[in-house]
Amino acid sequence: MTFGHIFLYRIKELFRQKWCVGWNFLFPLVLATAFFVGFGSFIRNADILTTVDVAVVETQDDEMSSSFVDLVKKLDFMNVSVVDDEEAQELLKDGDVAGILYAPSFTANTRQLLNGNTLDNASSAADTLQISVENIGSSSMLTEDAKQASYWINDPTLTVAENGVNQTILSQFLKSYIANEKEMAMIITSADDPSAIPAAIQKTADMMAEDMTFGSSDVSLRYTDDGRGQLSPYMHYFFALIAMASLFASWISTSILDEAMANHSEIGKRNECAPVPRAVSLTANILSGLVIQVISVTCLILYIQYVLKLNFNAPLGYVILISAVCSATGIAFGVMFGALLGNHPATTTAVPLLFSMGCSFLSGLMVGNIQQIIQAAAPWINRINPAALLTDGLDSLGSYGIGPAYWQDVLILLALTAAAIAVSSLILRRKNYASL
Amino acid sequence: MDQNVVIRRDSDIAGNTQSSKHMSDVSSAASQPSSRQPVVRISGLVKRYHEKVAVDHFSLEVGEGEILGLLGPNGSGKTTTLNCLLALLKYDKGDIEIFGKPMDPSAYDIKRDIGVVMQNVAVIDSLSVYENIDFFCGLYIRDKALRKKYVEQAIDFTGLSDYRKYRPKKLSGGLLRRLNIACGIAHHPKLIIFDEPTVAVDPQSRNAILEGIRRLNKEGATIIYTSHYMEEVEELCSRIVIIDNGREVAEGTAAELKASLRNRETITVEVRQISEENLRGIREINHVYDVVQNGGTLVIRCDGGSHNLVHIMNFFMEKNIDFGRISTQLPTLNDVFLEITGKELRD
Repeated sequence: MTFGHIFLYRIKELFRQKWCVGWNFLFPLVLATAFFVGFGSFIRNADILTTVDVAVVETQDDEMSSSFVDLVKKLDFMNVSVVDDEEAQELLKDGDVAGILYAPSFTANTRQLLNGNTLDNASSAADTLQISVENIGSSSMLTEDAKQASYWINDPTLTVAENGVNQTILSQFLKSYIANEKEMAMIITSADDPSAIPAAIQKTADMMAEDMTFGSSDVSLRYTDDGRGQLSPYMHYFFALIAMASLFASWISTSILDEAMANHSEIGKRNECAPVPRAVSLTANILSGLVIQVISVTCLILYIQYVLKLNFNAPLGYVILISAVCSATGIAFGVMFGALLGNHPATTTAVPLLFSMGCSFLSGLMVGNIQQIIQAAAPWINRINPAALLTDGLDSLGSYGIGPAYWQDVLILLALTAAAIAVSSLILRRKNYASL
Repeated sequence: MDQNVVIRRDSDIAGNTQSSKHMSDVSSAASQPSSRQPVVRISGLVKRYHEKVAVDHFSLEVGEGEILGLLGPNGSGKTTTLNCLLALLKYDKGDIEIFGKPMDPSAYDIKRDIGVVMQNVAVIDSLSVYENIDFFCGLYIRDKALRKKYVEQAIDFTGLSDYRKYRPKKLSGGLLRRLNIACGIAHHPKLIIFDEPTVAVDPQSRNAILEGIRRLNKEGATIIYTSHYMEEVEELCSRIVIIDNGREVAEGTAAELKASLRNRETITVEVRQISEENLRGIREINHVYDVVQNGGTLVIRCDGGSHNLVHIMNFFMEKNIDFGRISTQLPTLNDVFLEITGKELRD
């Protein structure tokens, strides 16, 4: 009951304090906006480029063509319209699509094979179908022409109206697909039963959809379901900003100690005269500070995602989770500083400022690649710097999804929090003071 | 000297705790309103800050229903004593009991019945008057309905009804002190400690504060009141302990302490010229024990009697001594302190 009383009043108090609202809520939003004005357009352009509008035309009614269409539809950076040629031309002309992909198809030779007819260039129809994949290159059973993929498959083609990044993406996609055609040709020439070829082609196309990576080094990849992709390097500044905002929690906790401890202020004296155990009072105060801090960091994250429209490439819940844990680390360190330094004027302002800004600087808030420099020279610093742990966690979350790297960062942050709380407890558990 | 007054000199204190205790028992028995167990008992308290002894074998008992004044100059050990009493400070020697139980930081049952009004205002700037009182009262009273009732009573008691939604920064110094008091007494404590509550307060608010303290005492609270303003202590307190350099130097009611002085009246006369013979003559007047000439002023001290002024005036008339303004002053606690320690209370 007393715990709840202190907790609720403390939240009310913190929300009314100008420094808390200003520094913990508004300043990070202002800085995020400044970052966005500075280089957000680089990130936004990268995002836009990963969604390419394309028209796909099925050239023939066969499994080669249909499996190609299925493959393209599965690629979530392609926005596909399956239309006829005439409509595709219209779309291209109007600029509604970046290009037209004409699906591949079986050649007449493959169709003959599929229909059970013998091949003109095979010495024996039955023998042709017995040739194994290993022998296809050197087999005397196939002519030189028959050893080429083009003998069996008509290549897909791309029609574009202009040059640009989207067109480059389509072109690279095409190249990747054509490079895989040799494998499809092998399927055709090595199949024991020609009727199994269509299913095998479809399966190969499905696997290509899963394995394909596209794009040039200039283009950010879009987040995919299995976590693969690349974040724009500029997003790291925003991660460092979130880290700084999380560590601003240390200011809240020094303020908490000021009002909770008799050797810090008269209010602290009044609080310590009350029949409330210090552990209860401090815990209620600290939790209220954590709630405030998590709310402020969540606002920042939502602002970046939905107002500035910069994609974290990750489920927001996990972004907020690691930020909340980092906020707890900030609170715990603030309490530790207050416990160690007592009622020194530096405790209230200078030390928390130095801590939050220093850690954020070393995680890349001002110099983008400093974290990499530290990683090369003294990697242990990145392992104990809460800001570096947060940025690393967000980086791995956005690039690789929810995996061991992310959870490792979360666990180290929790360990740092626990260590700071343990140190604080040892100092604060004394019951009264030598002097006030 | 009045047998109810205990005056301690340096030579009495060093190693003489036995007789001091006896004398203390006599004085305590004489001046306590009831023979029940004291609400507060401090025995032989010693508190050192490195080389400096802030509290030096200090003992004190406060009876139920008393208003005990703790009077002493700045740095005499009043606040240190109170901080030890409240278990905020570690001390080197001695025992402290409140309500008959040993006091320590975890004695929450004792703390529940203590109210503290700090020397410096201790309120939260971002909460309103109502919220401040409610917050601090809530640390003592868990029942919401009861707490609400107490908060309203505290607001009425301190005359803050018109200011309940104001933040502390909008209040005058006097109102702020009243808020400070309301936060300390809202939970109806049985023992209230006021540590110099009227510092830098306007006279109107000061009178309101003192009146409020009297009412609290009438309602049953035992009060310890510390100050270096002797007038307040004289006006308010049923018993006074004077402290200096961490030691008790005198104890008794205001009247008893003053009566313990040799000097019962000081008469000041402006004279242009007076001969040695006349000065001797003044010294021979009944009850005059000291005459000091400071330039154009004569300071005449009398050790009792009545109508001393009349006798002195008659002498001046007889001897045709020209004189100007005359004033007479009864002894103050400052005089008590001065006689014992050689220092002024307001150093």
